[in-house]
Amino acid sequence: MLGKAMERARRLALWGLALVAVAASAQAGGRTTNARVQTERAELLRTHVMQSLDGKKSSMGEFRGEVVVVNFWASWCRPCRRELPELNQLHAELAKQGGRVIAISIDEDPRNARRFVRDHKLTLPVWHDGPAGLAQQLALDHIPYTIVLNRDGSIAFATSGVEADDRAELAAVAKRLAAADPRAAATGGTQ
Amino acid sequence: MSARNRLRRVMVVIALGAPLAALLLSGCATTSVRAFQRERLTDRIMTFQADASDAARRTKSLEAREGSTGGNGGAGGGCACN
Amino acid sequence: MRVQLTSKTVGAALAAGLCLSGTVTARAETWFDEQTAGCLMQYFTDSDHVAVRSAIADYTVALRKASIAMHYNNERVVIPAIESPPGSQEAVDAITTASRPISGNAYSDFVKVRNEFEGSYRQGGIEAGYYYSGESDYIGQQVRASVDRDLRGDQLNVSVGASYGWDAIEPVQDDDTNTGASSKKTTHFNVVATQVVTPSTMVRVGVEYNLVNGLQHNPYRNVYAGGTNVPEQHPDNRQRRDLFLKVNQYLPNRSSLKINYRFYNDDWDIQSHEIGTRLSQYLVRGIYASYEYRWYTQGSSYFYRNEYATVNGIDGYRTGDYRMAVLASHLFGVALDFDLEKLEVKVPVLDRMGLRCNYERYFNSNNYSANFLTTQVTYRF
Repeated sequence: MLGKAMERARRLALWGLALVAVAASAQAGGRTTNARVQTERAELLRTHVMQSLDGKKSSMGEFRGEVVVVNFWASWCRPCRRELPELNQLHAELAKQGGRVIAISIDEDPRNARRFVRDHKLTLPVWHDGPAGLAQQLALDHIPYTIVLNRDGSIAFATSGVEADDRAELAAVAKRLAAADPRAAATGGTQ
Repeated sequence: MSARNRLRRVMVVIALGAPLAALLLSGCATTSVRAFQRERLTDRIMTFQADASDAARRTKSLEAREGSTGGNGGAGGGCACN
Repeated sequence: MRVQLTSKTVGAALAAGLCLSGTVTARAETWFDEQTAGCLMQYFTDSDHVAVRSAIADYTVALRKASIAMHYNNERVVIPAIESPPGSQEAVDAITTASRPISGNAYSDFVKVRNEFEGSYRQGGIEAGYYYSGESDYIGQQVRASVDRDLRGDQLNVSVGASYGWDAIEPVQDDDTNTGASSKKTTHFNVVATQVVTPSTMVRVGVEYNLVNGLQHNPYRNVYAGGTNVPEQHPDNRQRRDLFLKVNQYLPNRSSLKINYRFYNDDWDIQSHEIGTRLSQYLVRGIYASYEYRWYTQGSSYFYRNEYATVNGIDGYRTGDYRMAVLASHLFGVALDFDLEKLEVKVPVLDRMGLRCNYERYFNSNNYSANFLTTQVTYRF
């Protein structure tokens, strides 16, 4: 009887170890996958050409060397509308340190984005990319979605949170990166 | 009933009930609708909220002229905004 | 509890509300991002020459984490005088089965004013509200609450709600009034699920339950039963249930089709089906037209009879209310909505307004017909 119970316990332990090993490898694999996804996203952001509301074509690659906060929003999204005036303020602060905020509207009709910008007297750069552009390629599940790009174009931070804490963390990350020595960022922080 | 049979029955109930519960909760959706695909759902001609006050007003009027009531409950849905 | 609403108290409440909204407006930048106000006028007339004028004001404000909505309705009902000559059979029948105090004023228009107020507060997925309706012989109050939550990556929203209403009924006393002061209580529950199915389809399904206790017949109406006039009498308890399904589908050419179905039944044996459809289409950017049709059919209650053989009716219940009988109805509606902001109207104030005009025609199998004409203006601050 005791022998059978011990045998059962040994089998359970082996199964348990196997499960832990699988989970650990999956997690490690997940981390590798996450890093690859972030690199791919950064490349998409760098190369995808969008149009500003006044018709100028640009891509994020033009701002290499700056800290860029990229915010995906839509005029039909209430949390997005609430966040934009704060991002407008952040843009003014980052501009002094070689950074910027770019708000990318995924409205189908750019006139809706233009009207919101006009009503709220926003001064930050607002681009229009529509629902089938970068938002689709990045497969955004929620908006607003904000990405902070390092001076070298890599993704330093990303969030879809809209609570006060989330917004404060976003602003803190952006300001910290913008305040860091650009030369240190260019050489990987060896100076 | 032995413990093994009892366990077997529980596993069968879970095996059958979980997919049923998931089906009920999932409704008819087979694919995820992402945030950037939802603009049309927020249009005034599509939302449930846009008609809510009209519907409530008319239900009140029709309750005074017909023998039944209801059909206006519910809130929320559609945006995928945080 | 009975509260007397006079024009003074209403005016005071409105003034207080406006002052509060003014205070809120002054702190606009820090408090909220959306404020809307609207007024609506509805005119109702029917084949019985009853006329109802409703004047409605709505106000909503979205704060940082919450929103508040207020609603006020002033309704004036005119029930016309009896036109048949005094002493004629038509006059006797009309007076006997009248649904309003009739003694001494059968040959004058009967005018009734109702004031209605509703306020609600919403934070996160929780909403609570209070409703009040007051007229000369009926005061209704209700508190309600609901919780809703987005699930499955915001694909599914599930809402659970409940309300409790308590009505104080004090019929205007006249020679034909048979009922003293009474009350009615209504307990309501609902569960509703809203599912995003595709980028252009949403489905809502819900089930509702009402438990009603108290006075549920017209205190002024008599019924012919057993060869004599006796007061109308309905059961004091009623369990009402309904199940509904709504589908909203976005169509090409910037239009949408909404279809809804409701099944209802209760323990008075009334069972009904309702099917409604609404087609909305943008004519140009900022203007859309809506076309609506609703079909309704119901069976009769177990105690409804065209004639009652004895004064006891059916199990002690007797009714002269056509709503307890087999009934079918149709409703056609057409509406035009204008969003002046999207129409790029460059005039200040106007460029933040919306307009809506709506006409509905209703008729049922009792040779009864009615018209609803509604105009609405909304302003977004």
